[in-house]
Amino acid sequence: MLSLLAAVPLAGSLFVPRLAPGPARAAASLAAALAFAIAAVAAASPGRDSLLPVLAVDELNGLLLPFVALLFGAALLATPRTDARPGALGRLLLVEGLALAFFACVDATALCVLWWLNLLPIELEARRLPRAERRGIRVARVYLAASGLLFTAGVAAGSPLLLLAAIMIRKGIVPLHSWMPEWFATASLPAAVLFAVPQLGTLAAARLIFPFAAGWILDVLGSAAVLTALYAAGVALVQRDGRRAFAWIFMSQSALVLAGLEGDSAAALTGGLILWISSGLALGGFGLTLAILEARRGRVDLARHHGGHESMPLVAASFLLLGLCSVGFPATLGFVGAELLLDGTVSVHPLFGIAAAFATVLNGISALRMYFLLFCGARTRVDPALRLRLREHAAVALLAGLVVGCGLFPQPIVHSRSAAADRLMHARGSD
Amino acid sequence: MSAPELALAAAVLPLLLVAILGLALFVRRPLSEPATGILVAACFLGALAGFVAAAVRMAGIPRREVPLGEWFGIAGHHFEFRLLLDRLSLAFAAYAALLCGLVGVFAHRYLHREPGYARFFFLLALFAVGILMIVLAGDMELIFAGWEIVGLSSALLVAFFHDRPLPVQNGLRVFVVYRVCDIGLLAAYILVHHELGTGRLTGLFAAPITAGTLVSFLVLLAVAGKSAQIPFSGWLPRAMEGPTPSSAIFYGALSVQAGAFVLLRLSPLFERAPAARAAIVALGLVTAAHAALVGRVQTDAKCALSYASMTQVGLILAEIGLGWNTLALVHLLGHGSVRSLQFLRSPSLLLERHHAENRVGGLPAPREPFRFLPAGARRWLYRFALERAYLDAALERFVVAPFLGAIRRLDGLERAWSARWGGRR
Repeated sequence: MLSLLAAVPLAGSLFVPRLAPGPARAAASLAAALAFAIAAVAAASPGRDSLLPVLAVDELNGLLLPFVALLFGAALLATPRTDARPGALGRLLLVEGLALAFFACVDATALCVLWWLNLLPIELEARRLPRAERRGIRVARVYLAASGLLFTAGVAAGSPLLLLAAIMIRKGIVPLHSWMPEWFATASLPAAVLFAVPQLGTLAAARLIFPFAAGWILDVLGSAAVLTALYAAGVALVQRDGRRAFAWIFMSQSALVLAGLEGDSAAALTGGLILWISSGLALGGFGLTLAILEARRGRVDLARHHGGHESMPLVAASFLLLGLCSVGFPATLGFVGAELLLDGTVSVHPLFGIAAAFATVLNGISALRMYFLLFCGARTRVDPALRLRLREHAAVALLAGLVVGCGLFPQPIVHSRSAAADRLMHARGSD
Repeated sequence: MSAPELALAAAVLPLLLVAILGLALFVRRPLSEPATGILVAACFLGALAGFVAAAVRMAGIPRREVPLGEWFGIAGHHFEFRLLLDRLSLAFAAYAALLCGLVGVFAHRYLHREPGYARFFFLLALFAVGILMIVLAGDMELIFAGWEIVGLSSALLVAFFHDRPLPVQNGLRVFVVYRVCDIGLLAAYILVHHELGTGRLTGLFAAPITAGTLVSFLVLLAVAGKSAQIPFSGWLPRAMEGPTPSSAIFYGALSVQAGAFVLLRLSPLFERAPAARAAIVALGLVTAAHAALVGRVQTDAKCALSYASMTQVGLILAEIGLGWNTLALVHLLGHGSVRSLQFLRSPSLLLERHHAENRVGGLPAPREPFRFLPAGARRWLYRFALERAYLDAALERFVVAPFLGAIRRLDGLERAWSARWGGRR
């Protein structure tokens, strides 16, 4: 079953580019839907894959597999037509297959191979862009090549320190983060979102560092994560480019997920694992909404008010809702994760807890600032031909509905993540 | 029905209203104006009746804690919903439902055919949910969640006129002050939870905590932000960009009074922190003096009323700090009712004044209150008041500008570093 999970999108990536645009989109959607269905079924039946034993479902990745498949499915729905040519759809399925394989993998060596393969989107974007516009790609290439080398060396030598450095680069943790804003500023937005939002680095940290690393390494990881959360939240406030602002908010919120891995607190760890899902869904939707806007307005800048709320109220409301969910607003899943994370972190490191809380405060301001600048403050008339398509509405509404629905009834997700946290704590020997 | 059932049913009504109005907006099928008006009036009337009936049933019972079940939980950490019913919470809840209902009825006509009509009522209902969560909460978690909802709905209503830049800028400014001050309540709640293992209010009232004074000061920070106390008072006149009905209920009554309510609710905590009580008295009195002075030079009715609100809320805080809680509650309910009425009448103030002058043949000019001062001092005082005691300018110059300046410099360094690796464009 698990080998099918990666095989379906990979097969789709070979097949879809040969089709005409209409059937290609339908086939890609079918492959993504099938991948989601397989992920959901696989999540319900833990165990190793009989064909490829390096793939397995356990407490940690059980919920993450449908989460990743859902993100790609929503991205496929929301991708504007300019970015949805058969070749581009094939590339998207290829990236999905590789990401799902990484999330299903439990073997260190195989993870190392998949770590390199999951850098493929960088090269795909580099091929797509004219040479003069590859500046951000070049920065990402340098940093991520370094992360690949460090990861390989870390796995080969069994060194958590080298793995830590590799993961810090991949996650955009200060001071190894500079590629992330450049990547978001340069790559196509759906590709950038799908490359970053699933957070492969966090999975690698949970599988390869958390169970084995010495306490001081986790302290370094946690300190750097909290510093990143605070620093990135501050820098997001002054951005005048929508993509860069999104990149910094994402870095801040995703760093909080890692902060949960730091302590000896099961509550903080559970909170971090919930934030992984909630901020992933919310920031994925947030980024895709930005892509929907860009398809109509071109590159969105935050130096002026754009207006347009009245002509696209659902997208505006969803943008606000997803932004607020990503920073832990009450009645959303983000609140549940942030609550457990802060509660657990404070019991171990009170200062970290306050810093993390301050980061979420600043990110909330950034989210509302972006909403006001992108949808309010000006009277604009939108060409009816540019109205939102049903599939775009569906993608945004699906993610917004999920973060609110799971926020109102969070216990199944809390239970699942708590079991994953217990498993990790057990593996570390600190029940 | 028992008192808890009545209170719970009353509290659920605004939640239902949020769900109905929100769903209608989400599927782009907003209810008609008459249907919205009837629904809003019925909801708040029902809530009012429920809270009054619960208060009647509670006669003779000083306090009742009502567990509603667990929202989510893991081993050692449980987030439970719990209501705390007593004279304070039920009186304030009934008052909140009454004001929300009256403002809803007024706004139904005031916003007739306004493009954001449905959005206004959705945000009003959301605000009501938030304020009732604060008022009825039996846990600090629930107070914090309500606090956040009140902040967001306030900011969105200040920015109600979405197609103009100024309301939007002011909405963001209000939200920034709220969020920064909210860190106080969040930190207080985390500290309480850390020490007691629960955010339960009855637990907090029963057991003294070692960080009690620190927690009290953190709560005071949040209260200062929400109740527009010095030095955060500058957002209140800016909030007048919102539609008049929301100004009436938010800045004449419930929103600015939420801070005072939380101080009353947590008064057992403050009783064990004399330094924090002294700080509340000082903060309240200084704010009252400041607002009384600045309010005298305001040139539009809503701003003058907002400063009048600030003055009274400052006095209410001073009363709470002095331990005169019953007086403070009466003052709070009376002031909110009168001020809301004044706000609702403010759009027709000039017309009413004109009619009054016609009837009596001219009204006497107001008396100069500082005529005993030398002319130079009066001019200085006038300018001081006109500049709102330079509070906004000081915050801008000494807090916001250095903070944002430092971040911009860091951002510049970030870009320069990336340019080294990626090559310049």
